Amino acid sequence: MGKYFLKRFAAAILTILLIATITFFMMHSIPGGPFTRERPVPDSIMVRLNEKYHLDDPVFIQYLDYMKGLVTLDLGPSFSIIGKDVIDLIKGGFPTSAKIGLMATVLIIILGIPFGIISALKQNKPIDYFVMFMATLGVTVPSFVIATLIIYVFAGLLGWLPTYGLQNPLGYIGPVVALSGYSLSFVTRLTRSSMLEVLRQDYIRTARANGIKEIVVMGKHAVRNALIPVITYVGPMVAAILTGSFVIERIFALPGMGGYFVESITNRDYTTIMGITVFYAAFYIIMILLVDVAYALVDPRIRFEKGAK
Amino acid sequence: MSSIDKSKFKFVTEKEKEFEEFRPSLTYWQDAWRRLKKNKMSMVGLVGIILIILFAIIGPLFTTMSYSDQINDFKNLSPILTIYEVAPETYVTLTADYSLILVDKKGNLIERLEIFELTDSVITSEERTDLTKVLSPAEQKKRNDEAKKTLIKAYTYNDELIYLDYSGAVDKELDYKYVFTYKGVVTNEKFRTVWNKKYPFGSDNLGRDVLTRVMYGARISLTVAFVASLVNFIIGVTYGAIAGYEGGRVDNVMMRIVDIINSVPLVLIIILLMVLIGNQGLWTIILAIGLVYWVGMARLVRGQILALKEQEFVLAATALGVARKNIITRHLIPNAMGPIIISMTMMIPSAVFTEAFMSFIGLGVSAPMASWGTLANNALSGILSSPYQLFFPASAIAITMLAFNFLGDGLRDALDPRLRKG
Amino acid sequence: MGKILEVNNLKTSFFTHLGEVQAVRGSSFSMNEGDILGIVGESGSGKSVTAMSIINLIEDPGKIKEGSVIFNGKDLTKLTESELTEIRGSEIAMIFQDPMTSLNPVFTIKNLMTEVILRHTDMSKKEAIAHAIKMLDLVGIPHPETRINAYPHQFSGGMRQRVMIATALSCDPKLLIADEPTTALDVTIQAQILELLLKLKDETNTSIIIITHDLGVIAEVCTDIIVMYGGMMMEKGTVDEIFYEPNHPYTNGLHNSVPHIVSGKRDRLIPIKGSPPDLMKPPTGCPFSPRCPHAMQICLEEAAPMFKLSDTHTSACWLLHEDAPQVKGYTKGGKQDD
Repeated sequence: MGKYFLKRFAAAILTILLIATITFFMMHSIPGGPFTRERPVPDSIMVRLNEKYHLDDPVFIQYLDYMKGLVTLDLGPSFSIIGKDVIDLIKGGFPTSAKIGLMATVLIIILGIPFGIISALKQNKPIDYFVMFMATLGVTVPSFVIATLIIYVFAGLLGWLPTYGLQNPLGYIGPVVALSGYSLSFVTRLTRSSMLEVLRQDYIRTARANGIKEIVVMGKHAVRNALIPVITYVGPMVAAILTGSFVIERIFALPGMGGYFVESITNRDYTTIMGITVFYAAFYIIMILLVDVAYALVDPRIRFEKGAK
Repeated sequence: MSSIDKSKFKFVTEKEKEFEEFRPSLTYWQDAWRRLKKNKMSMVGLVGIILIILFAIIGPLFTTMSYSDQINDFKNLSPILTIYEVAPETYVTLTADYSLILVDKKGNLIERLEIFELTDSVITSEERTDLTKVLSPAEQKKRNDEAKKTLIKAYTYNDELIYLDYSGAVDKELDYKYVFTYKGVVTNEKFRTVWNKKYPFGSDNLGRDVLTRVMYGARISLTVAFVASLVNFIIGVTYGAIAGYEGGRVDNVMMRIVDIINSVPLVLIIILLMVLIGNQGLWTIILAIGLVYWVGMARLVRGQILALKEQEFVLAATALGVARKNIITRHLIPNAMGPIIISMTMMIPSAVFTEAFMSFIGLGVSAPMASWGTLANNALSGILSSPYQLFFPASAIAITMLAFNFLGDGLRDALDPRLRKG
Repeated sequence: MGKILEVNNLKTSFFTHLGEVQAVRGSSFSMNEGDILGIVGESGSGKSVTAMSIINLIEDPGKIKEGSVIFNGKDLTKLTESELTEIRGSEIAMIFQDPMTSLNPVFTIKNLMTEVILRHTDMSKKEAIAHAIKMLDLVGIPHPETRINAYPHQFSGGMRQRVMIATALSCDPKLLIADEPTTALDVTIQAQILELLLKLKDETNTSIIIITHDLGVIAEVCTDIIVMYGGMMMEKGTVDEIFYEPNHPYTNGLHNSVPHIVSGKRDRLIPIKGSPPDLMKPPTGCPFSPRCPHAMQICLEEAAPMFKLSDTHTSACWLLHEDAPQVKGYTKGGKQDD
């Protein structure tokens, strides 16, 4: 099994490098340099700027420099926030984003899975209809709408929550709820349908026929199997939370990475776009890798098949 | 033993036996349609989708304004107007940014009343005010300050001033909200609330009709969704079918590429593509979404083709010397059509979602065109004062998502007999 | 030998949103200790539902509507769910058709087996493991002490069925219900499993109900046979009676649709025309009448009662009525069984 994960890890590193390369060349093929503005910059300044940021080097040299920097976690200077390196932006923004993201993930897991299970066990009862109604709403309403509604109702009309920022611990509620809305609903639906599927399985009937108590049948035999597909969703969930944070952080004016990223897009700050993209991709790939580990731990079939290879 | 009529012990002919009801044999699609029709939720979804499409296509024909027409006088007007009767048969309504609009009883907008700057002249011009006493400049200033402190605005109407005391809107302790004074008559009770006749969904911060903009937004959002799904369908099915049918090394390489694309959050790739392509047109976003989301479709089709190509009818076709292209297009893809259609139905709402998301972070279509996402984004700044500007585009997104989800769920049940219940 | 099981007028239905599916419409039979009873019929005949009804394990939206199941003097249909779980797995055990899907894939064999043993006996965990290993050895799993730590997917189909049998017999049940125990297995493995069942029966004196659509299986191991069709019992008798003196057109039809290899002779297979009845709206008369070559007017109107041919042999066919026309091969004038 160790060999399998070593191989997966190597593949992940390779993928990150490949993505960095593609991103680099994509950003460099954009017509006009990063300093092309509506009001043309005088040529002399342009030359100085290009020199300062090594933009006058051949693209290939720039690429090597970039990749070299990448290994040492140096992602170059930001083009629009003067005096800041991209890595500083990431260092500054990531803790906030990670905190919110982690809270959202925990919320999704501790609410989504039990809701899904309850809903499946009470199939076609009022509680099931209620949970499914909420979950359907959750996947159909975009996160930015949830976020603005929270601001409007809880911050504006009721005044219970702050409208922006995290100075007040209550300030976490809005962003975390808005960020987890979609995935929470998705996990609830997924757990429910997976649980229903498992309850139809022959081995559940076997356990019942063997006189195992219903609570054990559910808690031990059914839930563990039902969670397998839910774990596979954790990867896409990380992606949904990452991208969701772009807008959520903007709406709640949080000093996170997502906010910087959106800002860098509007400012055409290419090094920042590049740096944050590569960072996101790397983060995502590592998360997927971890999910695979967790997956193998839960499902022995995977563990042994892959281990045998 | 009870006696039974002996005549009953007589053999019956085959014909007499055929009381058995035979179910008419239906084709796969007829059967699917029959099952879909039974599913109430999916029919609601289907009807919803048709209504949304009609709303987008023929809706704009019935509105008087175009999506870019601006009326500066009528900004930020709510769809439901609270009107006050300041004088007999004279009605006004107040907007979120304290414009006073003259309206009629039924909710038709007449004109915006000029705001009258409360400066020194207020106090000195006798005929315009009932504060007729002539004051010294110092006293005038004091009065003005007091007027500002008690939060008073004045508007010109028929050469008279309508005074508005809006302290109640700011200070929640007070038991009134707005007090109008016109020709010495004080009004603080609202007359009634009426539906805004000119702007059924309200107007935005430039005085554009939100209804018209939501309709045009529907055109853009749905165009993006349908075309992107089509692009995704074409690329995904072709790619998946080739990988699945060819198998072996070709399949391996093709699926590795899909794996790599899939190992990055897709929205990130779309953002990069849109930054790369640059000009923020409708086609940019269609292209970006279409070029990225096909990976799921490709995987699905490949899986289906892999399973199908081992089946006898394909082997038979191969043995009969049917060309490869024909085997794929005539035998394999039609048999994989069920899951493909389900996936397409689910693709459309996620494209609507992605487009809204892109517009929201500023990578959508450029002004004055607007998709639902752009509309929602524009409404963000005024959320506390004009929530309706967000409500309508957001509801449009949610209704569309809901309709396609319902239909998709129904299609899944109808087209995938393995999942069929009972 | 005493009666171990008596089923009286059992009726089980599934209440789906499309209507009531009458899966079992009045089964009555009894079996003695040490019997091996075979229930045979095609899919949808109600044989599996009958078996599940015995241990009252009908899943929603199914329900036992009527009748009683007397096991060891207790009416199982009247017991509470917790009383039933005490009996399931200990006094009555079950094995199922598909060993590939009937074992929970995420647990080891040890975990699955000891769970059942600990549930129904007073053994310590250590004793339970030892007992499980003993049972695995008994059903012929090589190296049980190491194999017990394996996961189900690491076993072949035949081995998994052996694990199922070992688990089922681990608490020394009085009755074993085997629902299509060999259907999903290769022919050679089928024979091994049947042999194993017979061997274990001799060693433990467990009564067995085997449910199958395969007459070959029945002929090989059973002492008594029930033939079911359309949720009703068609014919009941000892193996010899059902195989050599069948007295029901459906039983005959079954025999004719199975290849017989008699030296040098090549018989044509005669399939039963038509398809089984829709249990949502079962025919009012005999369920087999639409497909029966000898259907009479009465068959379409009223289901036949059980006519008694011997102490052990009964058949639900109007041809056995004294007024019915004579058809070759059918013994007329059997007594109506109440």
